[in-house]
Formats: sequence, C-alpha cells, structure tokens
Amino acid sequence: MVDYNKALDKSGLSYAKSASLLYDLAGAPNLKALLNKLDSNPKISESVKDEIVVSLGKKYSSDSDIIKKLESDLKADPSLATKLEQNTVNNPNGFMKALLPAYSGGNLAQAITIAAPPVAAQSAPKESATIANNSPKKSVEMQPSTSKTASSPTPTKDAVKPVRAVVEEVSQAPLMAAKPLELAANTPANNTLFKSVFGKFADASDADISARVDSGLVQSVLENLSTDAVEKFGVDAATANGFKQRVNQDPQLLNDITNNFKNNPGFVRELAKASQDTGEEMSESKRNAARTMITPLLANPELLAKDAKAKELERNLQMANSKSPFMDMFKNLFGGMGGGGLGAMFAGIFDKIKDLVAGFFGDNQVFSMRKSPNSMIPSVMVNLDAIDKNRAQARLDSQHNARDMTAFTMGKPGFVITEKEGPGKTVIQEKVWNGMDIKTADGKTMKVHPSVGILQAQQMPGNGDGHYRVPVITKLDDKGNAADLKFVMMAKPDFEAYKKETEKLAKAAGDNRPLETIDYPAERFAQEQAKYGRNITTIDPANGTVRQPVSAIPGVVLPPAQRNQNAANEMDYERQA
Amino acid sequence: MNNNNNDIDVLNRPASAQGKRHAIPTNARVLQPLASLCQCELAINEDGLAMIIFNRPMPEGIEWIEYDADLALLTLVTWDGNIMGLGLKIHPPLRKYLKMAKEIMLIEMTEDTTQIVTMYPAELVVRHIGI
Repeated sequence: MVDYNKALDKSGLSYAKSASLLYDLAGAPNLKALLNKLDSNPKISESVKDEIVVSLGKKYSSDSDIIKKLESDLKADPSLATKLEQNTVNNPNGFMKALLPAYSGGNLAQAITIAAPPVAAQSAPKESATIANNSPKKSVEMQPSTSKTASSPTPTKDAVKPVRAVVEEVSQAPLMAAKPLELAANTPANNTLFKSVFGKFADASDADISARVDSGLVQSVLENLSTDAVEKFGVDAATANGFKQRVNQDPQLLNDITNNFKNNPGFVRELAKASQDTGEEMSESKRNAARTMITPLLANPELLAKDAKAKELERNLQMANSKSPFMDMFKNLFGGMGGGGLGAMFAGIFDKIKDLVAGFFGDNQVFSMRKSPNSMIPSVMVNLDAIDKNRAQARLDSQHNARDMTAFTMGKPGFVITEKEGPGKTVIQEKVWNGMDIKTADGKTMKVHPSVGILQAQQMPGNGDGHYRVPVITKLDDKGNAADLKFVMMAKPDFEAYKKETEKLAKAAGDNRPLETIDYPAERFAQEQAKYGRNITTIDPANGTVRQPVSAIPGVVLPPAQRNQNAANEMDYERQA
Repeated sequence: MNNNNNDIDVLNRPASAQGKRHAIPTNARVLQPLASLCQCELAINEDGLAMIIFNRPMPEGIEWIEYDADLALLTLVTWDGNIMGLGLKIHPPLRKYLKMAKEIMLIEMTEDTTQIVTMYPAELVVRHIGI
C-alpha cells in the first residue's frame, strides 16, 4: 500500500501543495480508482507504485491542474484506465516517467501511445485511442502509425492535430464540479487515501483548516469515525449505523456540524492527528476511555454541532494524542482548574496527591536515594500541598463569575473593527474589544482584558519566584462587562508587568483598587520544606549505606551502630527472601 | 474437581494476553539512564508509596516501570517502546518497600527543583524469579 504522504514528500512538494494534491485527488473518483487499482496490482512492485505517486507529485509541482485534467480524460474515456494499467505492468520502470512529461491535459490517449513500451506497441492490434470531451459526438479517433517504433515515438501530424483541437474544447469545459469528497471508509484503499488527505490537517494552520473543511470532508470524517468506533473501540454497530444514517440523511445537521468544524480548527487538527493512529493494539483502558467519549456522540450527533462540545473534545483528544494520557495533562497543573476543566479526569490524580502528601509526612518512614545535591522531596511536598489547597481554592473560585471583576480597555476604549480573510476569500468584519496580550507560564500568548476585583492572584511555592495563578477576563459582552473568567498561570516577571499595566489602567479609569495578590515568599518556602524534610532516610546510591539517621520518630537520631544494624537487617531480609 | 465444560471460567484469561500488556518490544532502543540526564531521586515510604523526582523533561513519555528484583534494577519503558534505566542501583534498604509498590508517581520539577512542572503515575511491574 503506497504511503501517499511519504511519496509526496519524496517528490519535493511543499506541505501546502501535497495537501492540495491529495484534496484534488480525493475529488477525482476515476483517477483515484485507477491509482487504487495500480496499488493493489500484485504485478507492480511496491517501489514502482511509490514512483507513480512521486512522479505525479513532481508533475503537480509544475502543473497544479494535472489531477483535474487526468480525471477529466479518464472520465471521458474509462478504457484509458485499463490501457494505462496494462502499460504500467508491461513497462513498470519507464511508463509513468514517460507518460507524465508527455501529458499536458486532454491528450491522455496520445500520451499513453507515446509512453507505451515497445512490446505493447508492436503487439497491440490496430486499436483506436479515443479522446472525447463532454459531448460524445466530438470524439476523435486517432490511429497510431504502424510504422512507428519505440525509438521514434513521435505521432504523425495527422494524429496530433485533431487531438489538440479537442483538448482546447475540453479544457474550456468545467473540469470538476464542486461536490462532496468521496472518501467513505468502505475499502482499505479508500481508507488509506482518506487518512492521507485528512492527515494533512494535522499540521495545517487554523486558516488553512477553516478554508478546506467542507461538508464532503466532514461527511467522510464522520463515516470514518463511526467505522473506527465499531472496529477499534467496540462501540455497538447499531448505534454507529444510526449515526451514519442521521449524518447522511440530514443535510441541515451535516451543515451545522461542518460550520462548527470550521469554527473549531483546533478540534479538526486533533481529529486529524487521531486518524493517523498506526493501528497498534490499544490497551483495554484506552479502548474504554475512547468508547466512553465516542458513544454519546454517535447516539446524539447534534453534539458535534455544538461549539462547547468541540472545544471539550479538542482538549480530550489533545491528551489522547499525546501518547501518554497523563504527560501533558498536568503541564498546567495549577491553572485552568477554575472552570472545572477536565473534571473527572483529575479526580483520580488528586486522590493520589493526597495519598502522597499524607504518606510522606508525619511519622511515616521515608527512604530516598538520589543523584542530586539535596533531596527534592520537601520541595515536592510543599508543591503538592499547594496543589491540594489550590484545588480547594478553585472550588471556591468557581462560585464566582466574571462579573466579580471589572475589566478595562487598552488604549482607545470601545470596539475595534478588524477585517480578516474568511473561507472562500470573503472578508469578515469582527468586533474585537481592545485587549492585552499576556504570556502564560507554558509560553502561550493569550488575549485578555486587564481586570481588578475580588478575586486574587496567588503565587505558587518557590524561592520567591513561583508562578502566579491569575484570574483573567477573556471575553466581554456588548456593553463592555466582563463575560468570561479564567484562571491562568503566569511566570513572575510576566505577572508583574501585567499587574502594573492593569493597575495603571484601573487608575486612569478612576478605580484605585489594586489587583489583589498573595505572594509566597522564600522564607515561607524554607519553613514549609523544613516541615517535610525532617523524616527522610537517605541511601547512598554508590554503596547502599544509610547517610542520614534512621528514625521512625521525628527528631530522634539513632546512634551509628543502630543505623548500620538497621541496614544490615534489611540486607538479611533480602537474602532470606 | 468439576470439569464440566458448561462451566464458564470468568477469571480465566489467556496467559499471552496477561503478559502482552507489559512486554518490552524486541527492537526497543536503550536510552540514556535518567540519572545521567538530570538530577533524580527515588523516594518510597514504608507503605510502598513511591515516586521518582527529576528536574529535566524525559526524552520520551513513560508508559510503565519494571523493577527487576533479581538484578536490583529499575527500568522505565516509554510509550514509544524504548527503555531507559533509572541509573541508580536499588539497594537493600529500599527493596522490600519497592516490591510493595503498585505504581510510581513520576514528578518533573523545574531545573532549580523548586516547582513541579508535571506529574503522572506509571504502573510498576515487579519481576522476581529468585535466581
């Protein structure tokens, strides 16, 4: 099976061009069928199959209409596909290489003749190559010269003339009507092509995605989703079929979902990444998680037309796509919790955090072996404790809403009308409140509206330089009131700059309230660390000897003899075991 | 023992299915040990609650961890199917408690070790043949 992405990379096409080629190809059923036939032909080697796509890519770089032209020719005369396949089998190394340079659109029959291998040319009967445009009456018969040899494949003048005349007519006709992509996952080959096409969205920009998403693509995505749901995640087939029928038979629903996908390019991107799954066997827990996520969507396709659901799914997919389900989940451990965020997914981890805090504190004996100058446990414990408290704070904060903060504008007050290019090159005018860009702790830029109010910014543990958990307003209503509240993490310097600017704006607007802030000074950090550090037994990684006093009672230091005895007892235990 | 074929053994699973879940791929790459990449610390309490703390991002995400009690080695297996040693021998005082652990919490700290960057649990598989 040809890997279209790799083959097109080999052809030197840029990302945008190869995406465009695959998109065109998806809308060219005759050419697609031919390529699928070549792909499944056992007489053609894998390298030649690859080379065919590479050649196509190379040709596409100089002629971006090549797919449409080939499709048009193949549609006009389906028998050309058989000839093309036969010639590829007869001369696997040279045929496609010779064909594509000779092909300029409309002259496929002629190009096949030119590129045909000697054996085929000599053994072929006097068959006629037919080139037709949309009207069957305008078909032109072309007789290959019998005196023609492989070394002199130039067709006769008589044969060329009528072909050119028809080419002009064909090229003036609409080459491909706008229609939904035919990418349903009903065959493995179609599925591969779908994945190649859709996979390109994984690295595409938001604008690219919004411009490319159409009802045909969405229909294919949804069909693939329902197929995968049954095959990979074990969703009930009846539910999946019901979903397919709903989507295929309700144009309004499909239209709503398409619009939602257009408005949520991030979600489409994550879906595209997920579609590139290599098919490795999933663990049962992952299968269950995926099934739990997908089943409600299949049962109620309207959910896919909802903006909030798309955003929620985007977050979930981001996690699922990051290979480790936990790795990135906690990257912003302190932030984003105010609105409930990932809810249940965090519940389990917080239980573990509580266990860790309880288990590494008090009278519990703790062993540590490390390659670091000082133990990191006290620092971890202070942080975990802060996370736990922070979660409680998040619960309290969730009882507040955006109206508890007063937002201010940057520079000129009022709305700013901006223009941006939307899908289909239409210009969209957007009302944007004059906000401020801030940098969050994970390096992302975010547009917010500086605000003060009853909610506080809180610093996290550290040597006085911990991040701040900051309440920010991300949206205003038509009257300029705060409409959406979020909590974000900001590095100390960024927060200080934001605070300064916010208070300046507030003052200018006659509001003398500061941005309420609770700092976590270095002294407090040291005190907290000392609390957690008192009961750690350190093992020397070089030889296993105990460096620090072993004591189950905080503050009681055992004499060296007792310490060594303890270590020896452990070794005895191991030997006996 | 009743060997009636109509009895359904709901607890029975093929042995291969049990083992497959934690099988290290035969073509696994061996990554540099964690201790050679950054500061790291293995901590465990008397109830078998364990964590590995480190102060640089792991080169690959960790799917599960293997404790070979015979060789006293702790091996981290990545989601890409590669393996990475802890780089510290598990000495006798820790062994008993590590055997009790079911999972290890991996905690990434900032370079200056003052703040947690991320944390996630990894399942611990203990292998002990007794050789």
